[in-house]
Amino acid sequence: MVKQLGFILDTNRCLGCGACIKACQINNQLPAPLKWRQLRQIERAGDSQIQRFFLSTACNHCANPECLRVCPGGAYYKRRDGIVLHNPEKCTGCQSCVGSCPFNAPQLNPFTQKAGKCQLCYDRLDQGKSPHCVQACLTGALQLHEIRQTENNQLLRLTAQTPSLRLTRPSVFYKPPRPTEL
Amino acid sequence: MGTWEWPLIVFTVLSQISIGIIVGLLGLDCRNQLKEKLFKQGVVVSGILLMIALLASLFHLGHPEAAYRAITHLGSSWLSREILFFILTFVGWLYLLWLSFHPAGKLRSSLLITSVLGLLGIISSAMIYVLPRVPAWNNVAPVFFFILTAGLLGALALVILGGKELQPEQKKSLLNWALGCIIVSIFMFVLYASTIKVNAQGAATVQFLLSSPLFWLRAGLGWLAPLILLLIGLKSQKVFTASTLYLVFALVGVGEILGRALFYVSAVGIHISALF
Amino acid sequence: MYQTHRNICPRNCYDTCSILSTTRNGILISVEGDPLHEYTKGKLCAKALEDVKKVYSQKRIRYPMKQRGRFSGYWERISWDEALNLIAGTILRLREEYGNALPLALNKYSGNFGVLHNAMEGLFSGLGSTTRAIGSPCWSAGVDAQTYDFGTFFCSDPGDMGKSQLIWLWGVNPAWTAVHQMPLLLNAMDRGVKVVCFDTYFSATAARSSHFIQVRPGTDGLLALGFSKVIVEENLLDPDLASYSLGHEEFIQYLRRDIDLNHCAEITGVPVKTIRELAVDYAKTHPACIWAGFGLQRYTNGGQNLRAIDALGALAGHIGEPGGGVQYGQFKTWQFAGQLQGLHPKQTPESKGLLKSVPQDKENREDRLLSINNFAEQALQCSDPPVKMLWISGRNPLSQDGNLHLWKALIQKLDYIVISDLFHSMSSQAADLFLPVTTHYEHWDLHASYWHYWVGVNEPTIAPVGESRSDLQIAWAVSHKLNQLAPGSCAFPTGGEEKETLLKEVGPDMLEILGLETPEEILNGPVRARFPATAWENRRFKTPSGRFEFGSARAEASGLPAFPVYRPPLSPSEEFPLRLLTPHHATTINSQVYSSETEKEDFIFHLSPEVAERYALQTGERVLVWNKFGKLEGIVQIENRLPREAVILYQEPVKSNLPLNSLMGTPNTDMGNLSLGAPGFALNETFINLRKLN
Repeated sequence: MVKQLGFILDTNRCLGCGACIKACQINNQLPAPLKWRQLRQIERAGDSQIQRFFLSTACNHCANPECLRVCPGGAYYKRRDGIVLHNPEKCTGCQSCVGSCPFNAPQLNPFTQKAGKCQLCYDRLDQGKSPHCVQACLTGALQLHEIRQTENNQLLRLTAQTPSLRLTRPSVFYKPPRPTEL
Repeated sequence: MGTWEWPLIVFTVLSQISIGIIVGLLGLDCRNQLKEKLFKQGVVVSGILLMIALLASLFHLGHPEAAYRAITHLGSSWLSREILFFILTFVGWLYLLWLSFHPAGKLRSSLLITSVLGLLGIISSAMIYVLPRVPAWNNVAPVFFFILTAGLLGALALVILGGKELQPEQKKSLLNWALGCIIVSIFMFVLYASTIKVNAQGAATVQFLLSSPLFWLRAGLGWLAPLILLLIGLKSQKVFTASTLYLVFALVGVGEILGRALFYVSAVGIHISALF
Repeated sequence: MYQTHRNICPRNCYDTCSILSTTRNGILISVEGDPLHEYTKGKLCAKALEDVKKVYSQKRIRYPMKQRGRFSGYWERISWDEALNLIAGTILRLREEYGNALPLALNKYSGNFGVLHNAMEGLFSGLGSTTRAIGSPCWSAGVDAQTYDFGTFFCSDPGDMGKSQLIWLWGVNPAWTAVHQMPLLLNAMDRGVKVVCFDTYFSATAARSSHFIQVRPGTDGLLALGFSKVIVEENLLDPDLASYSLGHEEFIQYLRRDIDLNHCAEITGVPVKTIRELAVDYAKTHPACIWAGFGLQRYTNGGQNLRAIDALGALAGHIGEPGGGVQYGQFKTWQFAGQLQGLHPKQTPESKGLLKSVPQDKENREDRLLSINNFAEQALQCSDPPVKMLWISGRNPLSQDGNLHLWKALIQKLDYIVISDLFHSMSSQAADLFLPVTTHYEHWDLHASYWHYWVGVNEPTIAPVGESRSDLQIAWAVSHKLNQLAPGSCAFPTGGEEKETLLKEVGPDMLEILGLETPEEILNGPVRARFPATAWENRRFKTPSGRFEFGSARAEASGLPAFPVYRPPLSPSEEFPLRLLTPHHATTINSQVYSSETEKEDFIFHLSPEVAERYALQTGERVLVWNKFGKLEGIVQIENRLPREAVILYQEPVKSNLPLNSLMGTPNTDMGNLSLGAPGFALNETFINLRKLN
């Protein structure tokens, strides 16, 4: 693997507006209610401060993708830039990937009866453009980086209770949220 | 929570009975030479069940016509391996079928090979569910549960199929075997429930099961009632009537189907989204 | 075949974004922000991203339709000619019956803020003296407050906030309602600038701010006076005050004499210690900016609230300071020629502003002006002659007005109701005739913002969908039909070119502020008005005294306090002990909905844990909320940091036959007459009771 592209989300800049999700839905022609990106609000409230922030997540293009491991048809492969691609031509709709991804990235498209997920707008990247979600982000909260070369001591990774889950090594980082002082 | 995966419930339970029958035939053959009629009956029924099971499995796919592609990722996909082993088991069964019409000497080794392939198929089936994402499945329990289903229902099916062809001690050993499977099942479940409780998702699964009336139905019908019937029957040394045997088989069958349904429904996956 | 066009989002929103739309073989396929527009910066909000779906929505009305009986839902497709005959026939009949055009009423507001939409006003002006809705449901009290203080209504370029060392967001929620300001605020925070959010509840913007100060609803003015008192006590006043302000000494006396910090803390809910710290920080940090939102002036004391905040800014010396000021909005960039709506050439550019666009050409005509906020009530009172025909354009009063039962009564008295819109609405249910209008992707238009300084042209991207027509085309067609039936019956033009009409609106005033030689130059792309980035930079004000007026004789003359003094908001009664706040939601603009996916099954009443405890309610339980105006059912949701004395109901799309305004009366704000001709809508002075439903 030469590179590993991954999303970096600055939780201090994400407004939870959902423009990333809509831009993805609209430009990838996803029929509602299908979404390749999800939004989750997280809140931790104390007496003197509140942390309320959003996590906008899509496929994390794991270094060690579970979808790729379990797919019986070999429909998943990893590009040299780290993108995990799903090839619908090889997909049998068995949903192994849907059940095994700890991030809920692949979803069954009810119209095609095949799995589908964020392909990181690889065709746009190949033309030197940003993915639609990054392009749409109003505040620059969502960015795409070559994460192996990113200084990541200031960044948070996703955590999971089970160590084995970390083995997928999601290629995603978060800038830690600042609290609002009360 | 998971969903009601009917195609998968039918596929796994029926394929496990089918392979259980083959293994049972092998076991009987090892003790005393199998009677031809019993062999033929067993093989035919096993084959019918296997074919229904394989057909049902196709309904799980979004694209059944593309099922052949699902065998192309043997390197890491247990689903690919499962399909391969089931195809090989089916080939083995075809040979057994041929043997049942053209008796020849290689019967025991053919049964052995088919049994091994079938068991590998069952283990592969179970390994599909050994996913880090689903703590309730991410252990040896699915393998045990699937093999126990095969052992239990395979033995009971053979008792019924065998009928008068079976010698009393053959019948008794099959029933003893079934009784053992039930006891191990109950023991395994208790062990399973107490080990998976350590994390939130496993605990949710246990909580769901224990609060579900279906689970208690499954425990009552599939474990407790047959356990009592078998204990009473085996202790009293009397020969089971055919109707009692049918009843035990039906109870266990319903229990295993409910149990398998609950296996799918009670699965709680981890959704990693936490930063802290 | 791909083509790109320039469009401008015409909605009632701070951002007024420049859009690049792409068509393929004449079909709109995508929209994105215009990177050349310094405010839009190539990005669009999640609402505007839905535009493509909205333009081609199945729900869009594509043909003129008439309804067989009001509220019957039996609509019949008719031709434009038939529709125009119905309209013109009604107009001519009523004018003949009553001898004048006053029975004809127009109720139009912010559905589309495009200048060419003023064709509707133009059409009505062409009919003679008619009945008009004037004023604004939105921001009137604040506009007047700033007009009393500064002389006119103006704010700095939004980019000016980038120079601030301290930013106070006061009752404004840009994370939901002005997203393009957020990058600037977030950049400031990344540089270490403190952003303090004042609001009645922990908003999406509060969540992105460094500090959140929870203010009791309607007490913002008192809080500002408390801050001012501290500034006086700590002797942190701007030493130059005397040189550019009027009445500061009296104001300081008032603060010393009448403002007590303990009382202030008790009423506002902000502890004395916090008031002191914030006030000192605000006075000592330069530049420091306050952005005051619209919510804090939607009270019966709304104008006073903003005047007190203006005074605070002035005392600390932040007015006219680059990166400082008290920002609220502006319409100085709205100096369009006004030809279309028939403005008299003698009218000052200021009075041609955004909302006072009703022409008062007193030599020929005197329209009957009804407050937009009390329209139904006042229209019912009109007897000589009564209002008989109503045209609703760019509005949804049956969803957005108060006292809806009066609307029901008015509808019964009206002979004919015409509505022009994109979609059916609560108001279209009452209409006799529905005219389908074009979206901003289907007509020419001209737009300015009430926040940033950019002005630009909206080009048609695609052919009109179905048989829809622009307001201008409709006005021409109606005039044409009138003149066909009765020559000389309407003075409005009977036809023309949209683009030519648009260029005529770029008159000498506009050319000057935009720095253009010819109107055609504006066709090249959006232009920023050439105002200095900082409002009141030289501290020469437009007030009668030319100074910042702590004491305003004009206010006094209107029966208002001359100085910003504390006037309490309305108090809850025993019968209706909870205030209802209905803030804008990120997914809607008033009743305009952008995505059917966001539609809620039920009204959701957001309660603080304290209110929930008082009523023994849990999240998810059903409640009945009622007052003397109406009742609504919904679901309770308990959240941290909501007001202890109020319930919050966002303006979200809900699958309901009743609008949330079923709970609204029509309380008026204290100000609004001066600039807008009518007081504003004190929406936040709504009180309710609630109980659990089983």
